[in-house]
This record gives sequence, C-alpha cells and structure tokens, in this order.
Amino acid sequence: MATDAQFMTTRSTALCRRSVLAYIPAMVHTPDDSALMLRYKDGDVAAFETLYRRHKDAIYRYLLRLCGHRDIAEDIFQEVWGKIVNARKSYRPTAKFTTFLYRVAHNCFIDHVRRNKRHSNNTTLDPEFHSDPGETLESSTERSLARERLLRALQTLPDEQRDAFLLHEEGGLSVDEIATTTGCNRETAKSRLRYAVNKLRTAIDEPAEQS
Amino acid sequence: MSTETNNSDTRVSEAYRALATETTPHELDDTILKMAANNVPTRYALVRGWLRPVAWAATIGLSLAFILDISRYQDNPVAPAPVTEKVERRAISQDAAVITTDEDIVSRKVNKYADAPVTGKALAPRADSAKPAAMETAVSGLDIATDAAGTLPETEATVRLRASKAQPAASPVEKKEQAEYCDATTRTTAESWYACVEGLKEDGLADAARQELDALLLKFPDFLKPDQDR
Repeated sequence: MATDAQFMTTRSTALCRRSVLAYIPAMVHTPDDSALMLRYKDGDVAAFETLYRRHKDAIYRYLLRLCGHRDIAEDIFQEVWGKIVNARKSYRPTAKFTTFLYRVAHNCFIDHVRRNKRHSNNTTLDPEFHSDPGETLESSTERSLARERLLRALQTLPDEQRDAFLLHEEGGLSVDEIATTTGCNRETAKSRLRYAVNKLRTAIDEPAEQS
Repeated sequence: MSTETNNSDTRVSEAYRALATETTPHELDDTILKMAANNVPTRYALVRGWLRPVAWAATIGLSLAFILDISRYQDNPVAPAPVTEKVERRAISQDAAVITTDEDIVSRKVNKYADAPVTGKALAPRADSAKPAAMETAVSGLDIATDAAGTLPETEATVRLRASKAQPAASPVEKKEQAEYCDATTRTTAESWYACVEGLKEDGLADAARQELDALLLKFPDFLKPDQDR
C-alpha cells in the first residue's frame, strides 16, 4: 500500500514537472537558433554557447548511435562543431539551423565512413538505464528488456534507415528536412523512416522469450 | 489506421527517449567552447590586420621626408629662412594681453616707417603721434575678425582700440621725416650738424633738436659743444 502511494506521488510529480517544462519555451523568450548563429557571427561567444548547449546532446547521441563507438563519435562531434564555428562567416539563415547542423553532422559521418572503409556495426555502447525508484522489479525488468530489444533493433537497422530515424528523433526533423539532409528525395526519406519505425515497433512488441 | 500508426510511432519514440540519455563529456564541451571563443576575432585583432602596414608606410614616409629636407638644406646652407610676419588674429573680446601683442605689431610698423629715407626737412609731429594710424592699419584685420564673429561682446580693449582709431592719423611722408631733421649734407661734419641743431632750437623744435643732438653725439662722440670748449 505504501509502495503504491509512493509510486503515485512520484508519477504525479513527474507529470507535473513535464507539464511545466512544456510551457517554459512559451513563457521565456528564447532566441532563435539562426539569431544566435548570427550573433555569434558578429562576435558574441555567449550566443554560441547557448546554441551549443541547446543541441550538443542530441548531436552527440545522433553520432553515437550512427558510429557505435564513443571515441569515434567524440571525434566526429568535435569535427562537426569545428565546421559550424568555421562556417560562422559565411552563414546565412536561408534554412532551419537544425537542418544545417544535422547536414554537417551527416556529411562528417559519411566522410568518416569513407575514410575508414572498415566501418563496423558492432557497438560498444553501454547505455545507462535509469529505472524509476518507484518502479516494481517486474516492471523495471520488463522495461529494461524492452529498451535492450530496441537498442539491438536500432543497431541492426540499415545505415540509411537508422540515419532517418535518428534525424527524426534526435533532430526533430520532418520528412522533407530528412530528405534535404541526407540528399535523397522525399519519398525515399519517408519510406526509410517508415521501415525503421516498423522494425523498431516490432522489436518492442516482441515477447521477451523470443528476444 | 493512421491513429494506430501514430500511437505506434509515439510508443517507439518514447521507448527511444528512455534509452537515449547520453550526454557529452565536460572535457569535450570545454574544448569546443574554447575553440569557438578563440575563433572569434577580437577588436585588437581587427586593428592588428592593418596596423603593421600603416606603421611601415608612416616610417618610410617620415624617413623620406627627413632625407629630402636634409639634402635641400645641404644644397643651400646659407639660404636664410623665410621671415613671415606673424599677425595674430585673435578675438578682441579675449583679454588685454591680446591688445598688448597687437600694439607690439603697431610699434614695429612705426619703426619701419621711421627707418625710411627722408624726402624733405618738413616739420612733422613726433613718431608717437603716428602710432594711431599704424595701429588702425594693423587692427583692420582684427576688425574683420570681429565682424565675422558677429556678436562678440564689447570689452574695455575694444573700446580702447576704437578710441585710438578715432584720433587723427599722420601721413606716411610725415612719418618718414620724423626721424631725421637734418639732411645728409649737414650730417657729414660735426660742426655743420650742430649748426643744424641750433637752427632747430631757434625754430622752437626742442624735441627735434634734442633728437638730432643725440644722434650727433652718437656719431661723433668726441665732439665738444662751443660752450663746452670754453
């Protein structure tokens, strides 16, 4: 009984926090990515810091999932931001900054693959699984298994499909933006994303015994 | 069907969100932020771009000018430097010191007139009486400056200048005659010069006689007056 009460309290707190966080962007005036980049172009280092902190984790995870190796991901990550810094002078806000950023990241990854032909899909990832303190052992185990299955399914996806899925999830890019970033047409991008989601859904729904 | 797909997508998305919790290492953040800060040019760096060429150009220009100046001086070592009369055109309303400077200019002009050759032995007033006219000439430039200024307040100095302008002025001929009352012929010997001085005394021109006597004694220091001989 006490455990149920504690669980309910934790859940309601989490929901509360989530609802508050959802309204924060609307309440606080946050400058646009392009505006921040233009400010950095004019020499405002603080603007770049804001921009970097806004996108760094998503870009890092995107590269980490694509590469599967932490060290390589960090190298490419550094290369990506180096290119963003160098592109400061010639930057023009013609497209969404996120599209520009992920295109640079995508190209850096492709360059890395071309440089190292022996790109392997074997990953040494050790994702941190944070279980809720109020979660029961059974539900925690079930969730852990589901996440493990998802990770494995993600790693077995073809590069293009994984790329499309990660651009959608981490970058929040639309199908059109994924097509622009990866240099394919809209239908191709859409089908890649659909195949990826279907495979991952199947992996999640897969009974534990089969996995 | 569409709703079902969306729900499935949401479920996959949520599952992935729960999985993706990795963050960048702090060392990597520091490295990239430092790189970004170093890449931004500071204001000094912008100046530094053109500072060195400008410094070189200035050094070369000054050196050339110095060398040319020295070579020109070596070509004409005894050439006198051009003398330009420096007339200070200051606003009259400043202070009395300005007027003192202007009066110096006036006295310089008076002396210039006095040094001119004598054309006749006409009787003329003393040099001091010619001062206002010369002052008028010198101050005319100041008047122009004052008029240009328009609304300068009238001070004591202005009033003094205006009063001096109102006095009658001596003609340039009179100014030339005021220095030498005895002509060159009479000045050749001490005796004839002294006779001229006596004549001036008889005419009642005591000042002129004294001035000529001073000049005579200056030229002939051993000359003794007839009354001194006795």
